[in-house]
Amino acid sequence: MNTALLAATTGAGSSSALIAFLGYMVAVFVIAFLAGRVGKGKSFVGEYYLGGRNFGMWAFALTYAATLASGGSFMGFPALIYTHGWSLAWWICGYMVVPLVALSLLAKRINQVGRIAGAITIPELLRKRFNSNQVGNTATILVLFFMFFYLLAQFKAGAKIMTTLFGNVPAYEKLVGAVDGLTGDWFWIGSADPDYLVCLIFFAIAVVAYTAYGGFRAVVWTDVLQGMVMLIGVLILLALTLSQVGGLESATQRLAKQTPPEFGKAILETGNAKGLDRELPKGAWLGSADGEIMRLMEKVALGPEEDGKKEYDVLIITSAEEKKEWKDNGQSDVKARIVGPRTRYAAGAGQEGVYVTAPGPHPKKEGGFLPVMLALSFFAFWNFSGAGQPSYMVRQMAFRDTVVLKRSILFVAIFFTLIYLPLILIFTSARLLMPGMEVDADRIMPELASVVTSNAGVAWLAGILVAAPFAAIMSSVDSFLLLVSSGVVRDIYQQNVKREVPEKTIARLSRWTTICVGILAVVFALNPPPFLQTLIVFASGGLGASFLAPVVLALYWKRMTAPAAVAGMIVGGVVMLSFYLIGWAIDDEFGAYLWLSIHPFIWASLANLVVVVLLSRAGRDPDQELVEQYFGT
Amino acid sequence: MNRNEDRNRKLGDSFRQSRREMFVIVGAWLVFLIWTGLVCAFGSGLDPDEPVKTLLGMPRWVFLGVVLPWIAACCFTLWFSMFYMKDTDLDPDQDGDHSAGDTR
Repeated sequence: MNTALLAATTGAGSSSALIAFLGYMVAVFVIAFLAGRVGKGKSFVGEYYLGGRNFGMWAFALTYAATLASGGSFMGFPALIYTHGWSLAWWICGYMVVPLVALSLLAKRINQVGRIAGAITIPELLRKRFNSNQVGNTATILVLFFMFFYLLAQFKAGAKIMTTLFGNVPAYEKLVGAVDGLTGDWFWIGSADPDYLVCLIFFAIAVVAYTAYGGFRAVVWTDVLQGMVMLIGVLILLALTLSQVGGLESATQRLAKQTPPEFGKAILETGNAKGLDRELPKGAWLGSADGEIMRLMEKVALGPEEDGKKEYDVLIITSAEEKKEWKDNGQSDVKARIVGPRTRYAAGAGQEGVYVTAPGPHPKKEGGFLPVMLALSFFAFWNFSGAGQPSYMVRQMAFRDTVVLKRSILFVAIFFTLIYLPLILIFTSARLLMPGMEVDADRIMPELASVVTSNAGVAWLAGILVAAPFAAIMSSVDSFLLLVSSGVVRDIYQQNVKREVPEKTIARLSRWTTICVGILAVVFALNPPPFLQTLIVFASGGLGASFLAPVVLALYWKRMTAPAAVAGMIVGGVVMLSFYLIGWAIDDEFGAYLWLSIHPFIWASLANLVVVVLLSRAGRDPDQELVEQYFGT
Repeated sequence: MNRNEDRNRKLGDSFRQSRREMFVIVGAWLVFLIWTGLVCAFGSGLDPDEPVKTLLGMPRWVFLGVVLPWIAACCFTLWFSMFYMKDTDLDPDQDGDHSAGDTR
């Protein structure tokens, strides 16, 4: 293992990578500025929230794909592949039909009904389809609630990537030090890592600024760039990673020999430097006299008081191959001594082959990462929660005609194939290049980018590779910001407070709402839960569970009624939330309760569907005029 | 036939076509769910006495249960989007007063 890896795993950035990354950011701003100029002079609401409903294939397909591939795809998903191995191929494989299901199932009808209704948001579409304010208001509240969790996760992911990229840039380190001195004692803000805080604020300013300025057109145009960056970044990373692990066959065979790590506590001794203050970063490599290799799971400040006395959390490497490699390349001069009992993985501990089979290893769940029923429910989850997301649905109201739609479905299918399959190959191989990343698995993507580019002597390329997940996050955040802002302005203010509002006022309100939502997201993202993917799955599952059944039936079933739509959405959202609250209470950490090993999205969607069908059948016949307006004869 | 009846008839036809397409999509989803589910559930287990079997460098169950159906799904998507899905008039009220971005 080389020094580049040591540098990268402690968060070091390179100035050339930083320049490449900043170049990408400048391109994003230029595009957003141009988009804002194009939209000038047109109807504000239609332009700002829907880009004039006139997008062609490239814009529509790439904005859809880029929005769907969020921070979860490039941060949370790689972390899961790294932690649980090849079982993630089964977990994600529902994406093979996502373009078909999520786009073809609804796009044509949503676009058509949206045009008939003159709607520009999904709550507005539902409101007009049923001619009911209750339906619209319920939909808006649910969008705002779940979307906020989604925003939190994306903000966290964006800030995490920046911390890796800026690493040890001197000006950045000075700024972090100053911020630490200033905010260290502040309530809530002081508890966030200062480097994370600085990056979070940078990220928020960047994305909020161009979204508030350029609206939907800026979001779509930047999505096109971001989609291309993602694709190119993944393919380059694939080539570099596979070449450095000696090919896929070799990587799979070596991975089959690996065993999951263990968790324990260790006392640290500085040896020659005894008595001097030492700082060790989270993830620092340590060795013990009896040949154990481990990584620190927390940042350590080691002074005379702690030296040889205090216990720290460590991750203990168990695979013989990983141990040998690290022994040959040396570790820190600080020595560690493991004390007390070790915690082994509940599934897969000490077993070779667990990383190349399913259900895959798991630190806490005895059934492993992916029991059969959970795998099957994820196949449904990716497709139907994707189809049920208002942020994706609203894009389906923006394409020009069905020719654009047909080409886009095919384009998105190819795009996802070239993104998700390579990601699996890359991050199963990453275990061989970067052992022990379980200490901060969410950072595996940017860290791996730093390592493989340094190893290949093209450190500047890390900027482009890191831009890929960053692009994914930005393209999702801008869309969600716009969705939340449209919910507040269009669906709450205009529908419930003041209907007739001058365009200028709407423009001002929309931009300020976007900014306020951004600030609020930053405040809550200061101390987010540890696993990005959990938050993302909760938020997307909640939205899907609330909206999929009511929207599909609203578009395809003439008999559906407004009270059924309201009840269905509420039941879907509440059931989803309840399963997570139960899971939280049982496991003592935020996560889903898996009844019969089935994801709660399935239960919540089924409950929603049953309620909508039963109430519609039991209720009065729907207004015939509305039926004719949206279904014809 | 007056203009409104004509509009409603065309919209009704396009609605029924969209509904047919929806059933085909759900059917395809089900086929791929069963394919991946069966191959992965029965082929992915851990056998400590056997070395890992690979195809094109990846575990065999991944190739047969994920990569192969993924390629098949792409082919099906090509057929569906280019040959089965029908063009539809998305704006039956084109000459009416509903336009994108109206502020009503």
